[in-house]
Amino acid sequence: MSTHPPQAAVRRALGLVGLASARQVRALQEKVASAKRQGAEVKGGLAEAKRDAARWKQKADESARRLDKAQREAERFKARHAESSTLVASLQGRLERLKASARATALAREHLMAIDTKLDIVEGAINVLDRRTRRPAATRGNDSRTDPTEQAETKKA
Amino acid sequence: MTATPDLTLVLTGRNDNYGGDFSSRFFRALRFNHALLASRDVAYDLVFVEWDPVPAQPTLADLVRDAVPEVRDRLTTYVVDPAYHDACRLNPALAYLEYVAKNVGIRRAAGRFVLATNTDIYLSPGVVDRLAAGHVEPGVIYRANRIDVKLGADESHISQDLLDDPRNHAPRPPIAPPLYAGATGDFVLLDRQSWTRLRGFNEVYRLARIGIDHNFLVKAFANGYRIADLGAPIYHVAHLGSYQVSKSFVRGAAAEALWGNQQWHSHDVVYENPDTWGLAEAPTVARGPRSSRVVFDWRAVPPLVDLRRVVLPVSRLGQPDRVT
Repeated sequence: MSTHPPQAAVRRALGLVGLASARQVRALQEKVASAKRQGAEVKGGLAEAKRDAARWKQKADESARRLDKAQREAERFKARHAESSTLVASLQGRLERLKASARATALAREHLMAIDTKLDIVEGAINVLDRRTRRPAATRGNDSRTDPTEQAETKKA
Repeated sequence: MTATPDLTLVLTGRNDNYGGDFSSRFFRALRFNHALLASRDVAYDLVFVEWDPVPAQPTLADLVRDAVPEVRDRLTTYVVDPAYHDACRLNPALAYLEYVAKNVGIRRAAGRFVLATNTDIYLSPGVVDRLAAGHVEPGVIYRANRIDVKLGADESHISQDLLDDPRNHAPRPPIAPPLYAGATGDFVLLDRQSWTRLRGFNEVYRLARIGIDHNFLVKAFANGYRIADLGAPIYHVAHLGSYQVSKSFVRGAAAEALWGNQQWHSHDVVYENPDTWGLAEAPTVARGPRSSRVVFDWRAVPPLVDLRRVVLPVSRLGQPDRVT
């Protein structure tokens, strides 16, 4: 049950002839205004979204270009890396060969020094034996046959 | 004196006035060292080897007993027949086979530790304290920095103050690892068993005096022995004829006589002495109390040439590179 039966009846009657109350009209006008505002806002938002979309598209294009460039760079670096790896492998090989050569040289040097030392000893022994041989030979013969070095040493002594 | 002394000092020399006033310098250093060792109660004895004694001269072996009577009971002398010098040397110009002579003493030393040193070396309180405290290990070669007292210094009253005063010192580089080489012949301290295992100084290469001491360090290092600085100095009063003073101006025959072949590869080639090192097979006859004559016998003479005994030093894992 309505609490204001006469007003409701009036509204129904007006409604039957296609009329509305002032209150209803105001309410509708407000709704229309609100809808217009919303429309304008949506329109503004749409324009903004379009601008954003354009910006993003531009950025995407730029990123695609940069990606493309980076990919080309990557390819170039990959190629250079491959070249460097080959070079490094080659240098490492050379370094190993150099180390082996240095070691072989050091070994050869050590052996040379050992041989040199042995030669010193052999030469010393020959000198000693030479002196030992000359001494009795000189005592058997006359002084003119004595080793001149020993003669000088004898005089000095 | 105990039956087995803790330390034997091995010295060699002859009455030839080497370096000028040799015998006085020897006696002075001996008195000084004895006083120092005795003050710390070090149980030590002395072996003096008179190599190639000078004919018609009294031997230092006899003179020292009268000149330094306080060491008489600790002193053993060996007078080596001069024929050994002629038979052993491979360099007719070389006047003294210092390290074969030292080997004669080392081979006959009785001490638990044997110090091969020289007649004009003064020990320091630091060295003697270390010995007295027994702070030395077997299997370690101990070296000491040599401080040179300047040439021409008045030696008539040698005292610790004089030796310690830096104003009296001549500069020389300190010894450094791993070999701690430098004036090595003046101080090589090692336990007797290790000396025996290493068979003394090189007596295969008998053409030089110079470098034989360094060569011993190279050999010992290659054989895995640790070499250490004892941490206290020894002193040497510079004199004419010492290598440090004379190396720049003594040339030709004189240099050859003093040092022999100076160019030999003493830092790179080592040796393996025969079992008979130190004239072990040489007969000895007594010539007085604690004094013997080493009589010549060809059987005691090492072969003139024994090339397989010339060997190369080796490196060992965990050891640093040999720095020559």
